[in-house]
Amino acid sequence: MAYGVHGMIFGGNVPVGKLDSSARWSGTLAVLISLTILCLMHWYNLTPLWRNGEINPYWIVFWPTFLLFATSLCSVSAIALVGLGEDRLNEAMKLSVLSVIIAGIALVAMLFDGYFTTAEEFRNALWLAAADILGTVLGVILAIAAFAIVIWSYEKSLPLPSSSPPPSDEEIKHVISIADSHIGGEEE
Amino acid sequence: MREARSSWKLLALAAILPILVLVTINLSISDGYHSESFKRFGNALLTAYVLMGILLLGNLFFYADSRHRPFAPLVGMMVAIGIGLLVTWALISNDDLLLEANSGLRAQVLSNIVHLLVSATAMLLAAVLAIGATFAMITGRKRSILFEEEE
Repeated sequence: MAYGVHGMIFGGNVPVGKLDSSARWSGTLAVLISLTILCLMHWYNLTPLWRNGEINPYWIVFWPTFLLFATSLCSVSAIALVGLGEDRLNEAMKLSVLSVIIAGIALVAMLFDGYFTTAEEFRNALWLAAADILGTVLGVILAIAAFAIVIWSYEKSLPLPSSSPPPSDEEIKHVISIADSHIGGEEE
Repeated sequence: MREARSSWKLLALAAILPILVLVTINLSISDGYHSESFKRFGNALLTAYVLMGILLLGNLFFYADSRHRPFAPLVGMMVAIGIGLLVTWALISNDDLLLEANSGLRAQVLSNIVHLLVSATAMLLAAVLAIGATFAMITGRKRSILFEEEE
């Protein structure tokens, strides 16, 4: 996926580090293959297994979290492109389609059984993944807020810098004479 | 200023809406919500808060050094512990946070850290895909000529 994303970005119109235009297509293909492999890990026998042939419990944490977060971020990117960029409606639409595709994958997994995982197990895991994402994001925001309060209170308590006295008449005259000598110029 | 604020609200809505839609569909298909959802939410919140707090505390040492405020890390630690205790009290008063699969508190702490690592990896990979796709869309457009001299 990282190789594909690199190729997709730098195969386009970038001012520096531009790759061959074929990198864009090979990159897109690599991203599609990586997404297909992830889907095969759910719907085919590529599912990571744990001891005694049981499904790896971390896979069922990873997969719904990835799907939920990816669809959410793609949606944010699409709105950000329209809201903050200029004339980016076409690109935003493509990102929205990507968001819907990823949401569609999640929906299919909710409705149809995987190779080792049933649809009900996936639905339970999706609940927990949503709780995980919400908890993690809130925890990070709370920690940043706690330390921001400390820094804000310290910065607020700092004394204001003392202002320097205005220039004297002598100093003003000196500055005017320097400016005059540079602005005037001489006829050749 | 008002426009900037509304665009932030729109971005927050765009972030939450797809998750809410999927969860709502999940709720309509399933019998009800998962009984351990709140426990997982509480554990994820506290683990992310503690780990992020440790990271920011390290930054506060550099802040204290650069701004000549030697007590800043200590004050930061006190504030972080205070808020952490408040959040923990609020969560525990609602429900027990110990997941049934874990035998004790230490097992729960270790399990939470490993769990957060897995979730964070999934979120990181999702971010790679979303941010990469965004930049790929931006650079995919043909170069527009702004000035005649560019040709």
